[in-house]
Amino acid sequence: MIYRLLKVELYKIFSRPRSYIGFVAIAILVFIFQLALYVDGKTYLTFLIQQLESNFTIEGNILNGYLITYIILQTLIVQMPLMVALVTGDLLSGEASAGTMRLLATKPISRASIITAKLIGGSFYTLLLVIWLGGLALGFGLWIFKPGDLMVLSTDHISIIPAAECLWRFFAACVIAFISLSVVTTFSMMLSAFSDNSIVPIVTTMAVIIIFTIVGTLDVPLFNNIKPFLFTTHMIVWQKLFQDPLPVSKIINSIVIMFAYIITFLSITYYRFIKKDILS
Amino acid sequence: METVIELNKISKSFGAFKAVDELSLEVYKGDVFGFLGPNGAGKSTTMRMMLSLIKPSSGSIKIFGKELNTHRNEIMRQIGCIIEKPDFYLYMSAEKNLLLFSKLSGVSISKNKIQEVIELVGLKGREKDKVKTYSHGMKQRLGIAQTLIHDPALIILDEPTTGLDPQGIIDIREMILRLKNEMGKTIILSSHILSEIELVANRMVIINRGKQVAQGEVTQLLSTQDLILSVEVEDGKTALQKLNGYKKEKFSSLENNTLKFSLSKNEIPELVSELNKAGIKIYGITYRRALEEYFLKLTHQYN
Repeated sequence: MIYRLLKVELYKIFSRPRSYIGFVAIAILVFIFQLALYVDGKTYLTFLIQQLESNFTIEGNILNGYLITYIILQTLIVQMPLMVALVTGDLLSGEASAGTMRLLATKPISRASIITAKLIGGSFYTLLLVIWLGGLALGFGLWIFKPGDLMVLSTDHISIIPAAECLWRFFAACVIAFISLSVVTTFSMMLSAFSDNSIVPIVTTMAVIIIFTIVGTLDVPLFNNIKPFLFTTHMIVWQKLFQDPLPVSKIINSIVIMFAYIITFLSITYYRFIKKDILS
Repeated sequence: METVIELNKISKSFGAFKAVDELSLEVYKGDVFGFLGPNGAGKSTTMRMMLSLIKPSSGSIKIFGKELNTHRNEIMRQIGCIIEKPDFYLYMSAEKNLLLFSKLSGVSISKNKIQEVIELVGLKGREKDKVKTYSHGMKQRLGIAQTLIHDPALIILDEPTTGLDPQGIIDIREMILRLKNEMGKTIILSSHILSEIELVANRMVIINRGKQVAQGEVTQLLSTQDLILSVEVEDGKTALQKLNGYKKEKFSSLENNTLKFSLSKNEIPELVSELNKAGIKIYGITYRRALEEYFLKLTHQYN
């Protein structure tokens, strides 16, 4: 039955125009980025490395497909939670506000199965978004700008990732981005289980992410103590995959914390939805 | 008689508000069972409990002889329902909606069966249209189609004629009778309109403030042996004096020159004749069955 339910869920997700907003937005943004960097990338790069050039000699194809992909991912992954929440925040509450939850919940399927199917459906959608972003950025980046060593500038160091190592790191980055976005998926689903209105979970998810992100960037001692516990702090851990040497323990720590969030959000969602009186 | 539904002292509270209060009832196989009550009486809450949308605060529900709590999926496979209003995925066609819900009904359903049900409810030719283009009446028909798609033994319809035009109401009523007479379905039907229940149901329960008021055969509950006769006269007080205690035990009230009597249908001619003899001018006589009168009062309280 869960397979049938999942098929139905995926059909519903992909029958709705709003599900394609994310894909279209990503395609447009990737195109704009690549066009801008193709036309004016050298000026942009010169601006970025002007201080370095006074001390180092930089040779080779710096403005390559991997750098373009890295820049795109760094910029767009911040916007991804909105695109994810737009669909996943609506999974339970959307059915409630439309009145279809009444019908769904009278079918010979358990409520746990309903959530499981929606979770898998929502996760599949999130995964497709990540693959779409990673695939478009990397595919067009390598096609237009060709491969090369990836130079990553941080505030306190420069990492040079050999071209041969870039592909697996981007793949791993997409996997971690998927885990990060799964935190958003489960968080918005949890809110969705409490609401009969689809706007509330979507807006609340975004508001929480914005607040947590701001708290995470403010260098205030009070906030420094809570930063390690905010899921947004760990959602950008994919960037650590482009450091050399690889900070494995930090990456694993963040992944564990994100999974803890996912499990917590899911447990609350299951508990709430199974116990809930369907009054809508 | 085989019992299909058995509610045993079920109650449901929402905070301090008791929506359903120790309600017990039995529905038998082949019944069209009317669930009657004014708005807010607890009809929908009870129906939602029967469909496990709401968990009772106390009491037990047995359907097809099995506890709903422990055999939910097995029971739900044999139930089709419309609760409140039929809502569907508006961005899909009626046919797609039916296909989708049939997949979740636990039995395999052919495309022919879907076409058959679409035809039965009179939506042939519009099945490919998106539901967002449907009128309320069409959605209601689609709702009925959805309840029938998996050939359930029990059909639960919560106010299925709400918002329909007169022809739509007649169509739904005829469909309910066909489901009972030709297909042998057991049907539970809620309404706040007594005449609607009377026209299709053989048994009924009346609830008010979550409590049972009456339950039994419709013909018995709405018997003409127990009428409220209203006689409009020129001057009520004078008429009462002139009657001089006649049928005193049957007299119930005087409201705006209308005398009300509780009596049976065959007592009416005698009363009219007595009023004539006493020289009381009669401007009108109407009667309602006692339960009808009671229900009307209940409804007025809430409107």
